[in-house]
Amino acid sequence: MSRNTRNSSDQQLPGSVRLHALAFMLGFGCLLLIGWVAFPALLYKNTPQPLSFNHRLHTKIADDGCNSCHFFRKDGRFSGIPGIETCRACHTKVETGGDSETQLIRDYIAKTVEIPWQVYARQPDSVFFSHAAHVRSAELGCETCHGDIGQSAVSRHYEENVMTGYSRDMEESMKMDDCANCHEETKQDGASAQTDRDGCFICHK
Amino acid sequence: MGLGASAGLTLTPLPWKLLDDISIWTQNWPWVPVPKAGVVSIHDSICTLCPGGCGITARRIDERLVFVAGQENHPLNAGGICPLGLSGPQLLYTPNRVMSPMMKVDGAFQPISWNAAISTLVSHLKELKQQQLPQGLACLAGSGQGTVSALLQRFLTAFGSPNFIPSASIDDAWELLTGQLTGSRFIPGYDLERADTILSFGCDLTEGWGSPIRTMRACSGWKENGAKLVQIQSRLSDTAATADRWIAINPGTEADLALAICRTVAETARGQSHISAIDSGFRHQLQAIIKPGPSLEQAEGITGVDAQVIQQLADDFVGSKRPLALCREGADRSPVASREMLAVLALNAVAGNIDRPGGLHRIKRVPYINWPEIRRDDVAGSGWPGENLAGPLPSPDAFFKTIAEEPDSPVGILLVSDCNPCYDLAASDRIKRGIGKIPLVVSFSEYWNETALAANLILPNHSYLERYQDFPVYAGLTEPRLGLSRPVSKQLFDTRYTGDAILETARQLWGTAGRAFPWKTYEECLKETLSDQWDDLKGRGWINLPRPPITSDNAATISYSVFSNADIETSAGEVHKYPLMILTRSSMRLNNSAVGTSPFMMKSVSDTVLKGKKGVVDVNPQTAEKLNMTEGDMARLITPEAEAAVMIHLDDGTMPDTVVISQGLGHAAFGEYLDGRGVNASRLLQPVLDPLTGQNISRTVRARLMPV
Ligand code: SF4
Repeated sequence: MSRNTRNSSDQQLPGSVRLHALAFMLGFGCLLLIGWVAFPALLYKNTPQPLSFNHRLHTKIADDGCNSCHFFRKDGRFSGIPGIETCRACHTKVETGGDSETQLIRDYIAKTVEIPWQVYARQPDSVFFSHAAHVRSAELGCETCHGDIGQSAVSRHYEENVMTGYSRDMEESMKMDDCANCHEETKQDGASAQTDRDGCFICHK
Repeated sequence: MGLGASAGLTLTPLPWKLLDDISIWTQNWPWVPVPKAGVVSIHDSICTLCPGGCGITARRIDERLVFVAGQENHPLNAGGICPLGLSGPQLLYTPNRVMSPMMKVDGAFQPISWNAAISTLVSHLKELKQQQLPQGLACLAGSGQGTVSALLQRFLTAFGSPNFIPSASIDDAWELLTGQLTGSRFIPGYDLERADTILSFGCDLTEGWGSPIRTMRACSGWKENGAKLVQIQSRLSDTAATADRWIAINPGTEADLALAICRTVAETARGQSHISAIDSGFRHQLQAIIKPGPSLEQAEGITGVDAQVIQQLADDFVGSKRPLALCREGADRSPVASREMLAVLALNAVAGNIDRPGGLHRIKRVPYINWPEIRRDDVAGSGWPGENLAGPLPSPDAFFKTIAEEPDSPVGILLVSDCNPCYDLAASDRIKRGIGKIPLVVSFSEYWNETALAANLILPNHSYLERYQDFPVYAGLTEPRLGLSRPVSKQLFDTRYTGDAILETARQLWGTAGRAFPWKTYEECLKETLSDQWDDLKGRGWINLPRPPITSDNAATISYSVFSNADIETSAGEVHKYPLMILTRSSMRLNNSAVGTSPFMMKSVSDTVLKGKKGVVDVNPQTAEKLNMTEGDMARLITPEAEAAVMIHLDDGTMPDTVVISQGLGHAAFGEYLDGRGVNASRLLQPVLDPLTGQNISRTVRARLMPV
């Protein structure tokens, strides 16, 4: 009897397994979908930039390439987001008739209003980052941290993490772990446990 | 399904990302203030918080000032800055700023409009005029230098009052003394950088002396180039601790030691040749200063310094290539005893270092405010300014003495600009009572300090970071400068230039016919006054002042009888009743001026100076044992003037029978960071007026300590 019973239950197993497997797969698939697709879609708010900027075109025609707009000032500070006066140096009147250029001149240059760019690489307020130390002394290229933005023809939407308020670009390649990894790989001597460089106050003023 | 969901979840970034983001989210609560991002810009100016005149660089994010640092390429401080200068943003944004004109009504301050405030002042001034009492107007000013002081003085003169009373600096006292001694007024400029043997008579070189950062840089230079610093001081100060040699001396006897060294040097062949090279008139006066000085044996008895050590000091000094003797300064560069000043000047003269590299340079003040004289018929009243209530070189202490002596105040309106007499004058409790007798006290303070709180009307000035201000810097420099502070922050509150308040008051009193004040605004007045130099000053922030040659006409009028009084700067107090002597200590971490100490600086004050709210005093262990007291005990510190509760700290670097107390504490204003913390040393002191300069020179007072 006990053998029969065991047999009969053995026969029922495949159906139950199938059901469980199906449920398992369903749950598994749903969560994968939620985790990889829905969660990021909900987590990041997309905002268009006020103007579309063509880096590729500008680097070609500007006299000094990237340095024309992103330059070091005399005191070592870096022109990360150039002000409207830098744009005005070239754009005094509409020349190409493109939408972005017309808007630039009409809404910003003519009114001397700064363009409210959403900055992809904006670090939180607690971070002090010196471009001079990284670009001039360590001779890093812009793309090490900023990727191929210099080759872009249009400005991507800005993606803001709704929980933290940080930019997605910053989260993906410019977090403290990224700093620490790079400092580790390039063997910077120092005392900080995180970056193996001096003290906390180097980056957190 | 749950199992599948869990497994699926672990293969997505969701849980890890969520955990990370939640942790970041908890660090960014919406109520945690995060400064707004914006365009960074830097702006140079000069610091006017002390007479040092350092260059500063302000960092702004858009319009908002966020940081003040030393200006890198400034010739005085080369990027250096003191804790007070570094506190710029705290001093700008502090809730302790007076944010609009204020009037006291029934004992409480209420905000009023500028129109109402100036009309109130004008109506009181008109009343004084009607009573034919123009001299009933007086003004206490932080200094006699700069266009704001000049405008205030001009206003008083036009009103018919001689009672303009700036707080004299040691430079004013030097001018008076050297004018009388040599017939030519000058201020010493010390060539610190090139001197090789420095005798410092109690100068707090690392705690704020001369132009403080320049002095500190020179001290570091001495260590590098092998120059020798001998510190002569009654206590082991920071300067004494870092000097090559510390000579412990009885309090208040620095002049005796300087004169004894002078006498010894004058007897050497080298000393003789130096003396004979000096102009005849000055030489004659010099001998008159040195002659009554003590012999080595007498000096040993007076100063407590071994005669052999004095002889050695004299030999080293005269034997060195570039000797330099430095004279002490009082708090905020106030004068010290004329006897001490002249003794140090004489010592430099006998060492042959006057106007020599590494020596003492004679610097003449160069007037740059060249407004036409006020004519008698410009004076609105009947009177023409007569004698100042506060003496020929007016002293705020003498002024308050007069106020205290009269049953009714001879002054009906007192203007107070850029000073805080209710806190920093000796016997400050008496000063507060004196100020209470004056019917209308008008303060121009930008901070709620003790004197602003005692005023009836406040017309607040802009902060030093929001205004233009001309600022001559002498401060012991061999190359004096005129500096211009420029606004590095936008104006935050409903404040006005003191200069504009004066001009508006003059307009309302005398109409546009007020010929003595032809300017529409203070900025116009400043620009016109600095005329050709305006562009340079606005661009670079400073210019070198010319150094006209010094000619001595030997018209000496000094009475040397004062030199016999060895204990001149110590107020009377019976020795048996008050067996101890209080010495005051200055520090870069505490500020004694009208601006107060910043919260940031208070955090750096050690608990051997301030423990919680208790003021700590240094006492020698032997003295404490005699008094049956030990570390941490509370005691009553009693002087003939006042008493205070203090905590005892045992310190071997303090002389037996002396008590060392810090300046800059014990405020009754400035909010929670300063109010009621420690003891105000000025409260315990008694004013002692110097017989030659008329200025208060009391830095010490007799005292006793009693157990609580
Ligand atoms: S030393 Fe004087 S002038 Fe220099 S930064 Fe400090 S307070 Fe300002």
